[in-house]
Amino acid sequence: MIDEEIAHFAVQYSSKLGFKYCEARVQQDIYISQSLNNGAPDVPLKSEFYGIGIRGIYKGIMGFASTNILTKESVSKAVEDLKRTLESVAATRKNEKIKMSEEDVLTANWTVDERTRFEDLSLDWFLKEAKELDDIVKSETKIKQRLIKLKGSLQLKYFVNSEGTIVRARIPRYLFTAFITAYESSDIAQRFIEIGGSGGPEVLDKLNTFEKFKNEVKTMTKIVGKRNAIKEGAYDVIVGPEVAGIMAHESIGHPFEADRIRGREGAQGGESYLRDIKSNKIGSSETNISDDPTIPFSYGYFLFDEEGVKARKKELVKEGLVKELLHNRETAGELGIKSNASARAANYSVEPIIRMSNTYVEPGEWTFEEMLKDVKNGLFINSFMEWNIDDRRLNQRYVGFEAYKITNSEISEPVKGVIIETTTLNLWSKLYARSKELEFSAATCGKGDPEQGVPVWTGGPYLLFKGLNLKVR
Amino acid sequence: MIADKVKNLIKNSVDQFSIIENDVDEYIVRFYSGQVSIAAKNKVLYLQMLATKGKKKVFKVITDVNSLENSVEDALKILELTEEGEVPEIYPKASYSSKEISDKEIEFEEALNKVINSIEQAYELGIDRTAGIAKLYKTKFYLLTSTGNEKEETRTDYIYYIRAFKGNGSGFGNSVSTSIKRFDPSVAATEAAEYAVKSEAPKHISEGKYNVILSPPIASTIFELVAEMCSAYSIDVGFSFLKDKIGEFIAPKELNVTDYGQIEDGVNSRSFDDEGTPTSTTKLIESGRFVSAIHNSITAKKWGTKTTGNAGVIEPSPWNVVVEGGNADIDEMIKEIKEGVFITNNWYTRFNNYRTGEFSTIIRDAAFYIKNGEISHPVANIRLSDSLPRLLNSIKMISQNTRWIKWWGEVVTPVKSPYILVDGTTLTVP
Repeated sequence: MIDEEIAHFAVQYSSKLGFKYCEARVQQDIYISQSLNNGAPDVPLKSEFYGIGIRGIYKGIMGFASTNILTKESVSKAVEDLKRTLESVAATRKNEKIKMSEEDVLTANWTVDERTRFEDLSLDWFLKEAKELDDIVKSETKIKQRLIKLKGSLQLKYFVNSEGTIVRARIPRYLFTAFITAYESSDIAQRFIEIGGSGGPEVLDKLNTFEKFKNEVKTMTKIVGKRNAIKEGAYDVIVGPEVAGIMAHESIGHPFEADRIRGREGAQGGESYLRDIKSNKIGSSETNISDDPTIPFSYGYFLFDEEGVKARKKELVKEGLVKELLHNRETAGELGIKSNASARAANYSVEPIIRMSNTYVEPGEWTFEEMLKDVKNGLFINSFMEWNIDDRRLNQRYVGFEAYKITNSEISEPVKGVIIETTTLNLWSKLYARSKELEFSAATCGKGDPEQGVPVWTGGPYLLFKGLNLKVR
Repeated sequence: MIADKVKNLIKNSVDQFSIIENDVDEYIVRFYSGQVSIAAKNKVLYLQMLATKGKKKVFKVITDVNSLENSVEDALKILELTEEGEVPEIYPKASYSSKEISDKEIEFEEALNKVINSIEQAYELGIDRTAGIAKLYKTKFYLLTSTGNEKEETRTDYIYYIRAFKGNGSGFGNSVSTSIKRFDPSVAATEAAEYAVKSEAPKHISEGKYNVILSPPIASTIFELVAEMCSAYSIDVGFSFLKDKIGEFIAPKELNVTDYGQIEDGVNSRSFDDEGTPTSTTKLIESGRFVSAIHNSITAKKWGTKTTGNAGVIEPSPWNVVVEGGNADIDEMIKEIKEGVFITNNWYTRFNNYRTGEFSTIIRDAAFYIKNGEISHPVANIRLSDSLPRLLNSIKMISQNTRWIKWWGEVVTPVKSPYILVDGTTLTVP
């Protein structure tokens, strides 16, 4: 049971000590995970993080305090220590005034439906599921190393702020990850697989986890040892939903975080090309990219953010043009607009910061077959391993894992180490068509210091790029 | 101590246990554009509990210290449900010796003044803006084991990093210490600002093979990865290029890499690991040869060797990695290069294949083109694309100077690294 009373006490006590705005979040995160290394069960892990995070503005400076001792005495001390810390800081710097955006004062309760509650699931379920997933791979003779992991989590939150907003939330999540290595002649292939969502354990069935993993294993054993290099140059390229998703997340989602544009993340994840570009044109008119936390069963699901603002879909890029950034109350307040509920915190002990949720390329009108017909001779890159992007989010690379030549409009032989290495504006300017499908992959997005990993989905349809320059590893 | 309470709750229900109580005080000051964006004071008291019974095992992290009975009961239930297999061995009666490397308390006011002064020093050098963070920790550890071990120790850690921006250039500086005496944001901020100014107007270079000098921040990325890949668990599950390489030369004879359980300014120091084994000093690469993997008791048993005191109950991990300095100085290294690039920092390292070691990393902050033994002009927009075995074998010079590095996202395990000169690495441009 979450201690709601202590959250109200924290807000009242902070206000009494002179904090201008304050909020308290009592949060419990419980994790269970079971991994199998080459079939052998590792030590099962259970972690419980339960405590209170208090954030408030004092002498013009944003402060944050947390403790896991939920007594009035301990919380009072946390607030007093924070006040003292902020007084020391205020004595050395004159900060600009922080203006939080004006938002509705509300009371809300939101949960995620579960057929089986997290609390009713015992460790043997994790072990049994992990072993069944391991069964898919263990008899494959080409796959000689494997790490299979099943993780479940439950997040319970109670949020209250000095304006009177109250939000209660309960979010169970499940994540399957696999790291497998296949050998054939001199070729060694490696692949990460992540499948996850919000809901009861049945969400893994809803996401076709077993079927997807079987397909991945089948693909890996089929292509290892048979992959050849291609000649570098310009190609028409179809990429799969997994590649579309990482492109949207890295080159559109992150640089659209308003705190990065202001420079607040400059020493960590970096800044954004949106500080510098003169036009608001990002790509071709096919470039339509959104972030939507309200997608049912999604891994990045939430209905109210960590500042008590109601969540909604955000169209980041519409028909190639910048439409909306990701805001919290601080960045929205500076611009005199409303927050679009992008503040998230990984656990009770860290401040809420601007985050993505489920970021994806919107589907289009084409079929995959129509794309193949259009390409005639080119490349199909369905998934990736290596990727990275610079800290202004311009210079990016995606190295194909499952990739094939397209010859006479048919998928032909597998290729190895094919690299898309380009800039954001060049990439999206070459987007020619989007398919009707919309598929998602689970990921844990990192940002902030202290580092905060939060669950997200990345996704999209099949995308057809015209004349994309490809390199080879 | 709450660890004692947990000990009393489990001692009659399990065969072995190791309980570590962590009492952490954390101060954080984050800043950008001359403003403090947030200051934080966090306090956390939590337990890590490893328990075994017969051939069953469980590991639990407990922060709900007000309901210890429920937490312990829950852990014991999990223990009953787990499958039989290899279990960790809690270290027998040991004597631990805590090195005197830390302060008694965090000196917050003094550290804050050093940080604020450093930001001002950076601006005095003519930069446009800064961003950075200072994180200060005091951690009290308390170990209790079923084998009768009991050990208390306190560590202080000071970590600071800053980026300075000027025009299209930027620079990075890092200060890492276990004592306020050696915590030096000023040197880090000055370096960041000087690099920002020097790299203000970078030019493009063409893609190709270059001889490069990797400064301690990027060299630390490389050596942290190598040290992690020395973990027996990483080797077993495919996260390493070092499979079947023990005893082989993987680098020139000048290269020596060692993991230290405790060392001055190693901000991940502890006298015992998660199984209660005393931490030690483990040579990973000696005169270019991969001489030892790092182990916990389970991997050690599997490999037929002894634990190195690096548990991690699942995965053994390095504590503090030290790369021995060589004979060169930086000017000599630059003079040695006909055409190459001097690289000050990097970010976003990802592998195409851990078994072959193929990876790439984005070159971040100042980098400079070297022509005929002299720094010519700043460069930008490049990526280093290589493989770890090739890169290690292509180290040609190692500087005398070494420096501790630890910063967000890229160098998580502290590494003390020199500058290294590497032949023929591939730099790509988009």
